[in-house]
Amino acid sequence: MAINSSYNHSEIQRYLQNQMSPSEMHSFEKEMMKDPFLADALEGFQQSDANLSTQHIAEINQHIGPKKTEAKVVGLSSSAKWLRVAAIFLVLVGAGIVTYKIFNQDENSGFAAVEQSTNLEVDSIGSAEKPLAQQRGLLGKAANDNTLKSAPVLKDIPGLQNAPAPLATSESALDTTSLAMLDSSAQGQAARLGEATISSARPPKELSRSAMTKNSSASQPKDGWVHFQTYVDNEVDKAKEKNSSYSGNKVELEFSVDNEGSATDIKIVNSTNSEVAKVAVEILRKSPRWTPSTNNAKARLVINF
Amino acid sequence: MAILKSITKTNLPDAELVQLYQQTQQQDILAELYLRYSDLVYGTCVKYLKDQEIAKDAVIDVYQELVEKLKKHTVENFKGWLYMVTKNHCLMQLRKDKRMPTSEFQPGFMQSEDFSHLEAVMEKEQRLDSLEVCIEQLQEEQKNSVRLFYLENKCYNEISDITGYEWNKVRSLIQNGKRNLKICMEKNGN
Repeated sequence: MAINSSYNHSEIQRYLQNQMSPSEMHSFEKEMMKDPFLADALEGFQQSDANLSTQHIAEINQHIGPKKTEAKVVGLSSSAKWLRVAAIFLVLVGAGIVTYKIFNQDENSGFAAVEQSTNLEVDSIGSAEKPLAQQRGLLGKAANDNTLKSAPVLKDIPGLQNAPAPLATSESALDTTSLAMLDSSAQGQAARLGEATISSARPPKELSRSAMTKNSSASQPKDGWVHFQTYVDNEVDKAKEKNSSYSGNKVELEFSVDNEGSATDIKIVNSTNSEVAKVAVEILRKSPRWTPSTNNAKARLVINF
Repeated sequence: MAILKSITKTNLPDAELVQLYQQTQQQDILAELYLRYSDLVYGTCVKYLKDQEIAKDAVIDVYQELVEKLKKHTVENFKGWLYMVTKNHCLMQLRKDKRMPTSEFQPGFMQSEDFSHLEAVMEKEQRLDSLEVCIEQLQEEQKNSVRLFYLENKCYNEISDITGYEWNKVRSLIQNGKRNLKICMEKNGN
């Protein structure tokens, strides 16, 4: 006989609860005849509450079973010192990776604030006063609202043109830390937000307006919004120079950011002109590096020609 | 390494695990072995100690006893030996608690051996004739029960239905019948 077999608790319970077939029962009873241990055990279980038995058996198994770390430690002793060293090394490496990741996250969230979408337009070139005030107003409003998570949200900003059509109107709130950040960064030029609409409206130069909407935070141009906007403006101008009919068109793109920071998987969500859309795709494709989103969310960009 | 060990351990027969434990004294080997029968230890303890909570503790206590005992004793049949250790533990505990005069279970007296021998006898065709004679000599109720159980392979419930004897009675009839058959067969030189 290779393995010494024995009836275990669950089988005994099956027997007691008449869940065995007659021939199974017969075999069980034969075994009981042979084995007084089984016979005694059966008597004990007959006198017990089945649920309590099950619970106790489980506790016993836990107590004695493989989880007993003392035994294992005793076993290893000197022969596996290197194992311990390797284990410690791995733990340190793991800790290192984790801390690195945390720091990375901090950088990202520093810019992108929170995982919502608030639409803001910033006049990056001209007077920053007005949009700033509106930013503040909007933020104030947003802060009062209750939070929802990453649903795409666009808000209409009175007085400024909003590029994409408003989507679901779940409100988003920015917490105070991000408010502070927004304030300070808005002082600069572009706001670093989960969602930002960058527009430059300088009639004489006819700069393009691009609006950036995101489903959730974190992806943004590595060198900042200003740099990006400047790039887009230039490209759009160039395109319009080639073909003036491009003016007035609007293209909305959805894309991911790959590990190198390039825009990939660019999809045309919406466009008023397919040829213009292709141009927009190209502009995005060649755009300066992005920081990848921490949660692999897609990003959206609207380019107004 | 530890992982490999546990994979191969689970298929080893009791005797080998005992040996392995006696060589290495590694507790996880004993745990492996003990857990094969720990359910039976629990049930037996409940029978003798009459209390499930106390029985649960007893199972752990028996295990602790084994840690040392198995290192020292020669054990050929682990399961039988474990049964003995369990019963002794329970009886000792009862004596301690209730100060009841109980005689310690005699090691070496294994009824199961006799029965298994008889099982082998019963299944051999050549002996059926003398067996048949002995069966005939049994008392009516024992005869019926034994026939139904061994020759027709019915289970207690079925026998109970057929004969009208109550379950426990069926069981004791079969046991007594077996014992009588054994005596009868030995008398006849079998």
